[in-house]
Amino acid sequence: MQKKVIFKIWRFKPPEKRQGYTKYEVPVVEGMTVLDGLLHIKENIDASLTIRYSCRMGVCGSCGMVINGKPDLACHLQISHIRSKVIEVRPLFNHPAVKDLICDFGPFFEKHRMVKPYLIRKDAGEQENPTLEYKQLPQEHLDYMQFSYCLKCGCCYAVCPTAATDELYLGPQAFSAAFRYLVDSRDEGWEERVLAVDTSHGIWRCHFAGSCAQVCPKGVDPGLASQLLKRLVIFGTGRGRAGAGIIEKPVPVPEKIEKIPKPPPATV
Amino acid sequence: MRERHIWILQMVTALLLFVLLLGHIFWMHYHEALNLLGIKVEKVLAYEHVRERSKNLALSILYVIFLACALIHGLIGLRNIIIETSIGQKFGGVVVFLLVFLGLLFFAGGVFVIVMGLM
Repeated sequence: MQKKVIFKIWRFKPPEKRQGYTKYEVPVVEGMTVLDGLLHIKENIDASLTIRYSCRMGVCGSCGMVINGKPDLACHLQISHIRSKVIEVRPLFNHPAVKDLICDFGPFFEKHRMVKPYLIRKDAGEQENPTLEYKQLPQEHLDYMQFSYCLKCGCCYAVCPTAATDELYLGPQAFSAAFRYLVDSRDEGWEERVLAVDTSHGIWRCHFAGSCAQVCPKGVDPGLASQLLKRLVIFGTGRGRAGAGIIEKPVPVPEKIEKIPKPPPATV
Repeated sequence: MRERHIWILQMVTALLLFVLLLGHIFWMHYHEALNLLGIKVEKVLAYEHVRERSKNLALSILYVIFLACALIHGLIGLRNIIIETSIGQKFGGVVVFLLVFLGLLFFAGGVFVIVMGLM
């Protein structure tokens, strides 16, 4: 007999303002993810179920949702790993719900934009029209590598207790992104970025509850980034740092014409 | 005062409190342990010893610092909790004013007792 699980899904249809859980019975096969279960419901049981997903392999960060009380990527979590016959799925906390399991990520991305998550350079000409690549040693890359894995899935923001009480709080994802660029040896935007996080709704409101680090599906540890960011802002490490220059132009290798065989003569 | 300075103040007072509290607890409640280490401390809670300590200027200054640290650290913590509630978000300025007033009041009261003990 095929194994079955009960999906208890939070349903919400905006104009009606009606919300509540609906149960669906789903047959389970080996290796089936929560997203597969949701797609089974949408394709075979209830086509009105609204979900957002894209890559189905934990890369795009679109299918973040609260599964049995803990935010995770639906495509990342296998049903067999949940060890429960009932799977309760609801949209992410701290994000305004749009419909069913979909949240509005507008405010979240707005906060992400506020920390200027891109390289800021004084040589704007070189940055806009690059002639060569910027120099960076492998050790310098390690300083921020962990924090560059962020998918912007919003799971960390969903469990942040400060984000739950302060709508303007930037949140762990934004701090992680700010730290990632502040420690990048190629970056020169210290002042601009610190100005964005050093506010009354910024980094100092972080209590270091650590829930963000617990739920991050990519192991980014935004909690660590937030604490390191505090240290960076207090001690001013990186203030006025000159970003890494561009790599030296490679010396052209003289062609060894005599060793290169000539192409055969054209036949047509 | 900017949020950054408030945070730094709370962390610095936390460190000071850790050292001062450790000293206070060992001095007052675990003096047997200090005696074992060769530091002679006897009957610290006896009336004549309390009276003697309160007349010591260096100890009085230490207690003023202790009081200031405890008030600053505790009241900043209380402020952080209140400003996360809906009431705190609406009346943040009033909350800060009240807490500063309360802090100054307690500090004045504490310093008064310490100064009176010196006399």
